[in-house]
Amino acid sequence: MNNGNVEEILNKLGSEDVPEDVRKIVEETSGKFSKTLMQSRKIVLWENIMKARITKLAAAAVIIIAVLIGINQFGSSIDGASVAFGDVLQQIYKARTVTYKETFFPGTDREFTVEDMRMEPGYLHSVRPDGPITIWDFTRGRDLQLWPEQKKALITQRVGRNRGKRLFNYLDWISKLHEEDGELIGQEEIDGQIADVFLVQKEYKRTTIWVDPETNLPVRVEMVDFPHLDKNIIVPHMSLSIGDFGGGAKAYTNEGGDTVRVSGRSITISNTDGIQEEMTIVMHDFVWDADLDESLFSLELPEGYTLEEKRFDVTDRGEDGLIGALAFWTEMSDGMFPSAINDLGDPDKVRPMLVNKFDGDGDPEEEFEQAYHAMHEVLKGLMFAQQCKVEGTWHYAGDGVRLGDADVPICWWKPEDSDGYRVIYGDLSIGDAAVEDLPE
Amino acid sequence: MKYSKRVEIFEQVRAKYAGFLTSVLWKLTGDKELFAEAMQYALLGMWRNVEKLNGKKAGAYIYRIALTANSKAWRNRIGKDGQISKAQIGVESSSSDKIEGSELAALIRRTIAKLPAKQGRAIVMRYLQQQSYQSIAEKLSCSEAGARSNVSKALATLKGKLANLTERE
Repeated sequence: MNNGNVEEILNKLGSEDVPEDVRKIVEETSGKFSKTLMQSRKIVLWENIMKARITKLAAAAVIIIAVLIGINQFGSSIDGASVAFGDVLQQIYKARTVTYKETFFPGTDREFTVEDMRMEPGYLHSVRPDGPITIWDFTRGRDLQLWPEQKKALITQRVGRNRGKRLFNYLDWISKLHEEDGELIGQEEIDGQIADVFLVQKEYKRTTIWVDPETNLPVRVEMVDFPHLDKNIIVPHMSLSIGDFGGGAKAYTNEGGDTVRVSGRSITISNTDGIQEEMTIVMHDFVWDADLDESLFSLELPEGYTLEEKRFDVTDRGEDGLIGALAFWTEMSDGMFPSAINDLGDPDKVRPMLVNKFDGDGDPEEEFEQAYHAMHEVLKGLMFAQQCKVEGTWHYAGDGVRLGDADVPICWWKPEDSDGYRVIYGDLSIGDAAVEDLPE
Repeated sequence: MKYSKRVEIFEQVRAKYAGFLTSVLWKLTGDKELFAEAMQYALLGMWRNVEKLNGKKAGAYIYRIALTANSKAWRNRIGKDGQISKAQIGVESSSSDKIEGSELAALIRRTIAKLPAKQGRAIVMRYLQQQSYQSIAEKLSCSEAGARSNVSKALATLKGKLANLTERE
């Protein structure tokens, strides 16, 4: 094929007139689209009326029928065209942005409120009460933290976890939570307006959602996280200070002339299976489909800021992580295993080990980073053990045992869908064993 | 913004840009079925960005919406493997029958849908809308020389992609 006449053909395409029957398609398509927008509104209202009076299942059937009617009306309108308007119609309902305030009640009197802005797909702009801003790009596992007073920026790239093919859509999740899992428990007046109240009760989480009957969107959400009933299950958490490695706390002078010190960082690993602290979060002051500028979610460095970049390894190493944590412990405690596995989360025991191993004559910041990475690995190993405890098959027998004996089981657990147990032995080797081969 | 207000603004911007979308999408598709689908995606894009289309940068957004809608429609038609049978291109029913090289015209349309966004806009503005370089420069927020460069690069990319496509087929 000769490409020499590409420009000529492009010019001819440019001079083409739009045929009359195509203009009719436009009129018909536009008219039906507008009509569908109005019908969408009616469907949302109808859905809420039905929910209040009949079972959820019956209401769902009504919605499906209503949507199908919309699709059929539209699909049959275009001459010979089998277009994918179902997808288009469904997308009309979806909110693309939301702003809200989020108040945290962490079980003490230190409640605080952050202001969040979200944009589909996977962007979050969060402003903390003391000024710092964090912009998340969940599509790339990357975030930018900004300290406006100090003109300091930190980009953190999360590595080591494969993100799913489909990105978790927060807006979809939060806007449909009451429909998917909620039970309508009544109506309440909130900010002078009547709202339907839905309850979603899970084992370690209770979510109450107040929904505007007119828009079918949440106006307030309260989430209460409960810790596991077994007090022996702990949340891996630890902090580390650069001062432990001979570095001074980083100091900045803010615009008010006050000296602000940044001395260290902490890590908490939790999940919704009960490996979490008690916490209440209230989301309020929702604005759905707010007009947000995309620049709010840009990870480009603002002018005048100094940039620091870090990588945060979120690899879940599973049982290898636990072996790594035990290897670190035995290395730093003259070969002895911890008396209890939860010792791996005891800062009074682990921090001195980290300082002993990493504090030297080098750059304090580099030593701190190495120790911080090691602390993270220890906490990941501890998390693996807590998960085994949640599943109820965890056993630990390392108290008083010294590294080296390949015949002594240190800890064992039963993986899901397995008949036997996985065992870590005294030489930190790992293998499988039947229950009768393990200590009682 | 209230739903009713959004609908009101949508109707205003739809009326304002209907002529533009019709002309551009028809020239980019040349096939009634494909055109109808692209038009639906464009209307959805307008609905979702209605606030922006009511603002100062509306001109830039409408191009983005039109070209995204065109790409989506073509992607649905072509499929993931990028293959399409000649019967599906719409050569028979297209008004491009009136021009020489109707098969090449269909391939060109299909290939424009795959161009990078800025290059796609440059091609549409220069050839399908027959705009001056000065006008293109204003819309692309660049100099006149930059506009020429964008059009030239877009044309080169288009020719390159066409060459690959015709070799495969």
